[in-house]
Amino acid sequence: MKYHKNGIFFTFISITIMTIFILVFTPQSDVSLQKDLESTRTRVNSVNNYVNDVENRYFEAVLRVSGFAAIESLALYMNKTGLYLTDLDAAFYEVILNGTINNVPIDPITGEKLMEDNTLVNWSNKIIDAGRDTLNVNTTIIINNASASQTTPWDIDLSLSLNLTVKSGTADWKNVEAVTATFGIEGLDDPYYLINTLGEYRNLVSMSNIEFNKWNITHVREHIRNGTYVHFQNSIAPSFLMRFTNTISNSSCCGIESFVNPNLISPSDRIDSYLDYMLWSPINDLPCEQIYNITNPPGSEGLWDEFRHFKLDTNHTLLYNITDVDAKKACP
Amino acid sequence: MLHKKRGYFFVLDALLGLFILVIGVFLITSTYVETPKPTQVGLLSDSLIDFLSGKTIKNFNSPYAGIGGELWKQGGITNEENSLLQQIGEFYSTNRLEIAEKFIQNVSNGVIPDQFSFEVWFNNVILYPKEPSLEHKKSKSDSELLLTSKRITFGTMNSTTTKIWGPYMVEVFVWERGTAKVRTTFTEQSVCTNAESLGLCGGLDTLYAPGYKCSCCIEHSFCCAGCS
Repeated sequence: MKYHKNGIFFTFISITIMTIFILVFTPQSDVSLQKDLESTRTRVNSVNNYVNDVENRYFEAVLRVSGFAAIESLALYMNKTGLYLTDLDAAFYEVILNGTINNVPIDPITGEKLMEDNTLVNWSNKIIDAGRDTLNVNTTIIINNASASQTTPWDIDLSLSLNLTVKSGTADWKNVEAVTATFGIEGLDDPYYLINTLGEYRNLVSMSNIEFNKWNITHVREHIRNGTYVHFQNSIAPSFLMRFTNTISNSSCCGIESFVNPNLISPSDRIDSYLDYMLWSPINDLPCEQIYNITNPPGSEGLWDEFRHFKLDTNHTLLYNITDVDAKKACP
Repeated sequence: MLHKKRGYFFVLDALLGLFILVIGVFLITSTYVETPKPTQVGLLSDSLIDFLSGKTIKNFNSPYAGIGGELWKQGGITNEENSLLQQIGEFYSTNRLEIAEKFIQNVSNGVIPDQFSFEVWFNNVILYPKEPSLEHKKSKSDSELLLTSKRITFGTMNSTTTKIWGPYMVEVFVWERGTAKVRTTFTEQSVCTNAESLGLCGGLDTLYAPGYKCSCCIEHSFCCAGCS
């Protein structure tokens, strides 16, 4: 009877040990959950990096490159049509978005492939494809608006509004983004020259490095020769973008001006100031009494030896520090 | 006397059982210790791609790839704001693959421990090593663990307005050399890839195990339809 009791005792111990053994080594639910959380965290981080890149860097670069091409395309388009734009914002948006103007592709008109594979739609599709192929995410990009403006004389500020939606298997991102970018206008065609000379006189924007109080007849000669531009504080000249719509009024923040080389226009002798926005704009015509020939009388450093018929108005004669030795009234 | 001997027998039996249990526990826990390995390799592949995309040329001190270094003097690097990954992308986009290989080799020096090998691919083109040796290929095929990290990169040809290159898909593969293969994930990438390409994702849960399809999504970014 005593041996039977021992058997029950050992059986009880065996069952207890087995129970402990099973409890210890049964897979715990939190271990599985932790593993899943780690995988999810990794994936969310990957997609989040992608979203940040698209929001903060990709569209900034796209806006800058496509915006530059769109502005240059519009200048060349004006050269081909010989007409100013009536609505720069609408034209810019259509060109940068689709590469068209008035629903017609702009590249065949300009003869330059500036917008080919270079529109906002093209670049949006490229990043959508890359996101799908690389991270298996569904990206939706809706462009709301794009515009160009100027707050400084030598730069164009671009802004872009878009809706960005990214859907992955684990999380979704949905943002309304405002992207901004800036590029310099140096190297771009001045449409005002192209229109007014029917494309005969092409002048690319290039900034003069002469300080405002260092002008003299020698620097003016170089200024005409190089076709450079200058901005004066409280300028009465139009900005670069205003030249696209023939808005010839003052832009105190951003007005830029250049001298027209009389050797490159016909007729070269005109009774007007040879500032670009004055020579071709009737609203800036001045009475002959206010016009000066920047001549080269013997012993002076005048300009007519190289730029015959070059004239300036009274204000600009003073602004560029040209003395009465070189400046003679056009109508005595 | 007989009862005392039986007592010894049962004590010895219990000790023997305990010994077997301890050995069993030890063996089982030994296998659990192996699990951190994939995390380490995964971290390495993530770290390498984070390092390449986060470090800019101007912040990278190297006689070869840094500012004023060999490539800078040769005109191979022109934009100091480029990240190392963007610089590789620029080399790739201009078809300077030899320079890209040397650049990767140089900038990754010391980032990946010696016992690990790695590859860098751009848009399914291997840039490093450009021409893998047989030993390298064998090491990859024989590796215990092989993990990949992916990223998208893009950039401008210079800092102004000329041209954008990309977006390119960048893949970094990292593995430990000279070990036998061990499953590091619940699913196999080849199974997930094939299922997606053949449109058989829906059958994965039936064929393999419940939850297999969505694990494919989490672990390899395939078969994600219907997984939240």
